[in-house]
Amino acid sequence: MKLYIMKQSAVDYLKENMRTYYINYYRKTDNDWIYELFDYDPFELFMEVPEFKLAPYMEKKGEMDLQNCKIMYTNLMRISESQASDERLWAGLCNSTFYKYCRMRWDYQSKKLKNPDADADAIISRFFFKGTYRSGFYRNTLAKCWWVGHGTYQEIHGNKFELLDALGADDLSTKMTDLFYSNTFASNPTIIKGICKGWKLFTDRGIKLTTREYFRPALQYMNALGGGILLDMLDEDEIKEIFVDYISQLYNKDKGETVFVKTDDSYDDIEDEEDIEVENADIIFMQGNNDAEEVEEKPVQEFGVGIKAVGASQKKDLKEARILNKVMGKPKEIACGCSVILHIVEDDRDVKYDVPKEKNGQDWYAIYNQMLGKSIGESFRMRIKTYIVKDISW
Amino acid sequence: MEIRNRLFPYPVLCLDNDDYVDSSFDVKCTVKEELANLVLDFEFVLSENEELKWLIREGLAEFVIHIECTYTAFRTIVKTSGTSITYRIPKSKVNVEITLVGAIVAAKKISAFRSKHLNEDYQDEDISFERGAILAYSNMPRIFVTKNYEELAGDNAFFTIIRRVKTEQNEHNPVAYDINGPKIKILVDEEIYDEYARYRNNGNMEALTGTLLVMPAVIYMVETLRYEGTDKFKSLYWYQKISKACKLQSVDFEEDLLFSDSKAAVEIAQDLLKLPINRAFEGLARVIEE
Repeated sequence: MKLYIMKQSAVDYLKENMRTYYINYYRKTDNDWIYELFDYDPFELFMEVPEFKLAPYMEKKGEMDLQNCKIMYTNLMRISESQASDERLWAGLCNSTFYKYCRMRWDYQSKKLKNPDADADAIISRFFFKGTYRSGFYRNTLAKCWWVGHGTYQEIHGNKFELLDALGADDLSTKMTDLFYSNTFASNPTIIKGICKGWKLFTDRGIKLTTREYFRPALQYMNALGGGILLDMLDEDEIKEIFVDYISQLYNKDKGETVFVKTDDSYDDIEDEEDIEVENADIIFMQGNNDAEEVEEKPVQEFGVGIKAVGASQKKDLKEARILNKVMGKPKEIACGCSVILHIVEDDRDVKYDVPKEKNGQDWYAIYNQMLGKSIGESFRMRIKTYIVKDISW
Repeated sequence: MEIRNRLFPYPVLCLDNDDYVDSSFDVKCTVKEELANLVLDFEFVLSENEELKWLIREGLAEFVIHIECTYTAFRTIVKTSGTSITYRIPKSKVNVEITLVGAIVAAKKISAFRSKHLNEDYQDEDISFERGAILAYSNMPRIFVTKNYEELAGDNAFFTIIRRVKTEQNEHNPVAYDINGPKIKILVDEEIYDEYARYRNNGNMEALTGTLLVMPAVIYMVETLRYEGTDKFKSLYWYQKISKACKLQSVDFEEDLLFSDSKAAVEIAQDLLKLPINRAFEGLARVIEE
């Protein structure tokens, strides 16, 4: 696939005269009209890359953008940051190789004309840079995807875009603008990681938070905090805690709850506790357990106080759980992502369950369906046993 | 990032306030170029402040350099407890300008801090710093990254002439100028542009078109810089290009031309464009002879 840049003189001409030409983006299905404007080739070959396709058209534009962030950055990783900050590159791609795609992304084939100034301005933002450099590249249709992909990509095993997935497709465009465009601290990868992972803590547990009410104010808070301290000095977990802490304050306030508990536990303490628990964990397997077939062959941790845990927690999950318990307070009823201690009446013993974050996934067992929605003190029957909910935490 | 007009809820050693007396903090930076990197050598100078030095020695605070290029979303910090450090930035990661702030930052929470150099307003105050608190700072001069504009491709001039399409049949607009982009834009009506296009490759006409279109643009630029200051334009490609061209002739663009009382804008424009009026008439004479 050949990638073309647009010559500066052509960029300047089209932008300057956009009030005359914007209508073509609505009407013309291909970019022949751009060639016809000049007595020279307005495009110039920049580089050749293996063929790739952007995401197919979707009603949910957030999902489409999310996929495109991954596709653009994965396929154009060779481009340096310096090159990617150049308007000519993105004006070239939006007006040549991906002209049809960009029209389709913004529904220009069916979009109604409104105000000439606003319509022309929108074309400049989406197909060129409105403003220069940073203010431009987080608004251009394709540059935005590359830069957000670049900002969230991690050289790790597994999902290299886990941070982007953590942000999620809902209202992605606004989140991109709020996070990357409005705040320069987002250029620091450690800060981005802390924020994205903090957001994931809530979304993983099915807590629906809107961008306007939670994401944006939390970023504004971090920005204000950056006036007094150098955020770049903090590590990922510290950023995450600040972000989660602030959102939970907003959340609890909105819900009128008073479950917010601020403890003095430092992260060092948390780290120590986890080490002890994991080291002491005596992992056994409940082979052939007739009482609860749903937990067969699941690893169980015994914590030395007569409590067994089903679904051995990762060290990282324990840490997240403690942050959640600290800032959100304990959940009132059992939900996905909770840790639950059940008392088995007939055996007079306690068992700990870690309910998976996703319902009906690979690790989902029938007993989870029974316990969902139950509060402390409530009971349910499973096979021939009675289970009483003793404790619920994140 | 540059720290300007910022109020801190605790004492900070810097040039912008008198929280500390008889004490100073400065960071010197020298820049060298390698083939693919910019090499930045930093030297921290903390004078007459044993208490801040003690915090650094004990690991409670660190010398920090905050490096940022907003043009390429590059942002990082470099930390040390020593008094100097070298950092290499790949050139591909930066463009236009880099801002640098040197600082002393709390690496841990610090309680009951006292210093004999603190302003008397802070005496008897119980001062504590959160982790990340900026205890001292010094804004360093920005580094301008003068890259070849042709990193992708394209022409190299510091100005560009743009044709404005008519929206009405009898529309005639004066030539306009815009100096806010990487290049100085000269906006002309279609008729002017077409004439310019006819002659732009004719060597004899080059100086004439330059005098008619470029010289007023340069005069406009000089007057705007004199009125608005150079700060917001310094990182732009055209500014760097002009500044560099002056330097090659041992002339400081700002001191010797822009802010020199002895020269009018029209004189500076002629200097920068190497006497275009004279050359225009010479060219015109040759055209008539031909």
